Amino acid sequence: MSTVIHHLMLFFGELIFVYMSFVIIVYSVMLIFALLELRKNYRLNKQRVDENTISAQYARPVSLIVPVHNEEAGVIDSVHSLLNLRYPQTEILIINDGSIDNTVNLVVQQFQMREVERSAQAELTTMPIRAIYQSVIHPQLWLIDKENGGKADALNTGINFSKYPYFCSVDGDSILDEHSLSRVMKPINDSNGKVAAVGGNIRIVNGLEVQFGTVKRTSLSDRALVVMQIIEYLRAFLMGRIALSKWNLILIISGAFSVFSKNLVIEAGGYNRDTIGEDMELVVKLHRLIREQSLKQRIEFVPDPVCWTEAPQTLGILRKQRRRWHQGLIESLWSHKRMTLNPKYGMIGMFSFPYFWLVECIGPLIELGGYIYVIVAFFMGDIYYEFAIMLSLLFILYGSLFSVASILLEAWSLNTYPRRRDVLRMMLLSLTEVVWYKPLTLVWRLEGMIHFLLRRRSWGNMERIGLSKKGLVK
Amino acid sequence: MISVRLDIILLLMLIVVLLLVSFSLYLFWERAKQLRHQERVQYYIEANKQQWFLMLHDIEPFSEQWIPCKQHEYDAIEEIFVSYIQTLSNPSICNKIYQFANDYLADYYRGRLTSRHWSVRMNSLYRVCDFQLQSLLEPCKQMRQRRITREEHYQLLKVILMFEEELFLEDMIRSPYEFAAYEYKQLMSLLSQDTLQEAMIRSDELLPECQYALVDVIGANREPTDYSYLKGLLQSEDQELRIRALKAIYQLGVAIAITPYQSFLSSEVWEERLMVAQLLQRLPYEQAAELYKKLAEDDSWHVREQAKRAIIEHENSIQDNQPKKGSNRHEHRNPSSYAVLR
Repeated sequence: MSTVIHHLMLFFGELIFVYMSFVIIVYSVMLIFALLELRKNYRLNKQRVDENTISAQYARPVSLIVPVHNEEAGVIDSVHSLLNLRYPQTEILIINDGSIDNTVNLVVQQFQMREVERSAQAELTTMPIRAIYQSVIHPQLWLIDKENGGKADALNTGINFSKYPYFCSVDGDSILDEHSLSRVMKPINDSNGKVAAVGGNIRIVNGLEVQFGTVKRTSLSDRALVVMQIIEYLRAFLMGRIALSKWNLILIISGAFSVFSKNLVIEAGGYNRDTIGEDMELVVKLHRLIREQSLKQRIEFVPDPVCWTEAPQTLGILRKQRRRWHQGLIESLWSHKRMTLNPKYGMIGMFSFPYFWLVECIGPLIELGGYIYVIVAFFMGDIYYEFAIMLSLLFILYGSLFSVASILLEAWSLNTYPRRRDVLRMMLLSLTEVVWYKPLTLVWRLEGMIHFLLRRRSWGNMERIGLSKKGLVK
Repeated sequence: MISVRLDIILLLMLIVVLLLVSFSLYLFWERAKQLRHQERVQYYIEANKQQWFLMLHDIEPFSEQWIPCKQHEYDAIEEIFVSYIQTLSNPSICNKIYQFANDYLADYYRGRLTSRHWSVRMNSLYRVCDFQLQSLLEPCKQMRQRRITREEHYQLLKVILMFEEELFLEDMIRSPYEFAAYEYKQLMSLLSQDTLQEAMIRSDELLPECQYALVDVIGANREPTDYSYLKGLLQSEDQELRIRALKAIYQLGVAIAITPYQSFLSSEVWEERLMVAQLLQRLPYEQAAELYKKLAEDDSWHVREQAKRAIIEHENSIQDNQPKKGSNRHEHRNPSSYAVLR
């Protein structure tokens, strides 16, 4: 019996070791790529580059689509931030997805809207429209009030109504930096339309001072849970996405702030209304379309343009969010499973899909197993003791040191949080990640896996605190 | 075996920790240095902006003490000048800035043009254009001999266009890079009418995106004399070029005869039908009405919308003009439509 246990312990120990080593190597390579990429633009006067794009009256026009559902706390700031954008030609379409709060009245009153008629292309099937409003003071601002059909349905409605060849999806609780759109559109403008979609960088707004849709002061939230999410976003966006984007291997660009080619999205069938992670699903569908039709198109991520979004402030809401995200990820991977290791889909099939299956999808299961293994091995003593120390070190390397590296990379290249105190605090807090935040998120992601297997549907509502000063919670 | 692995991992951890600690120290040192530099720049601007205002407005004479020699002085003066150039269009002040920059900043930027950092070279190239540093034309031309990026090449074309326009077209044709459509448009929109004419003559030598940009700029310039060039493009085999030519003809605002465009009404390409639907606005409505009706039944939503919009606009204008019976609506609809160009 003890021999069997011994062999089992050795087997699982080796398995977790190999897995962790693989992930650490992949992350290290991604980190180096991100460093090289950011180094190139380190001293560049980005505002001067922006002027070049903004003064170009010929930049491609964009329809900004903002799906809102009970977003009365944040929608006004969000719209103000879109009106503040420095970009030559935009239209803003707020799609009210059957809100039952005061969202519609608030927007109508704030921006002096009147009911109008506007025809739309019925390229994508959506829920019926109730009314269309146009702002008197900002003629490029529209509100489309429709029956509730979910975020994907609202986005599809926006696509039907949009008049420009590119659209940008922006969450109703998010605000954009004034240069965000010109920077996120740069790969599309520079490539003569050979980029099908571009994702921007998402940052967490909690704790910051926001006035009329502009972030006035960037300082760190006092809540450890919020700071941990900030670190997590930094790591995911800076490390993973920069490298994956370089090789056109990116499978996720955040729905909170992404630009898409309208024609390609329509051809791909628009947003999927039956999926939880509609943003990832759309990106995967676009990759599939691009490969199947041999189109010379790319999907990119740009680290510069920042979209500020609200993060959950309580464990309960964060748990629902992470469970939902993970369920959405598995749903997308599962529904396109035939792309996995399929050479027809190039590197997307041969690298991205296996990577996402192994690291993003079943990773939580293995990592959680690793945590349990470490605890068991410590108690068993003997040679397992050493194994436990070794795996613990790998966990620290993987969980905390990569986070510290991302924080430093961000502080060096983008400098979103200019105060030294904030950077130090993030670094210190990230060292604790491996003992509390990481295991929690692993459990929640595991719940997402279980929900997927049981085919459970829980959409989860996030409680909004609002972005402006009066709603500020530190 | 496990103990060996543990050793390796411990060593690895140590290396990573050392790297991170070193990077942190470097970062904080660098940040403190930047902060000090920024404070100096801001201090200089606050202390001297009034004096610069007086000198640039010729209220006080310029003295040599204002010639920069330290890094923060260069940066502060650059910031002051950029704010003037961006917010003022007073040619006298701008010329003074250009003159000062050519006399006292040129050497500074000359050195930076040869920096090993791409971003520093790019920043300098931007300033060559911003401050019209003609004295750096030669070093810029020499840059073309080196291995440079697409972005640098584009900025260099702008410099050539600014100071030696006669060389520009040749340089652009020979460029090893393909630029973005909006970049070509930016360049084309800066061309003088003479160079634009030359570009039309040599348009076959231009890359397709550049040809499209040329057509777009011709449309935006609204020079009726360019009509014949655009009309010639309607025979092109390049579908995109035909569409853009149709759009540009519409933008010219000249009245047209329908004959050369008749074939586009039944084109297989909906964009061509859409452009002709727009172009019909340049015809008297009575002539276009039947064609609008036909296009209102088109397969393409865009074409149908355009045709319906034109019909509705016409009906609205009839209603608006009802009290003023007897006035000739079409005569003044388009000021430039006095001659029908065939």
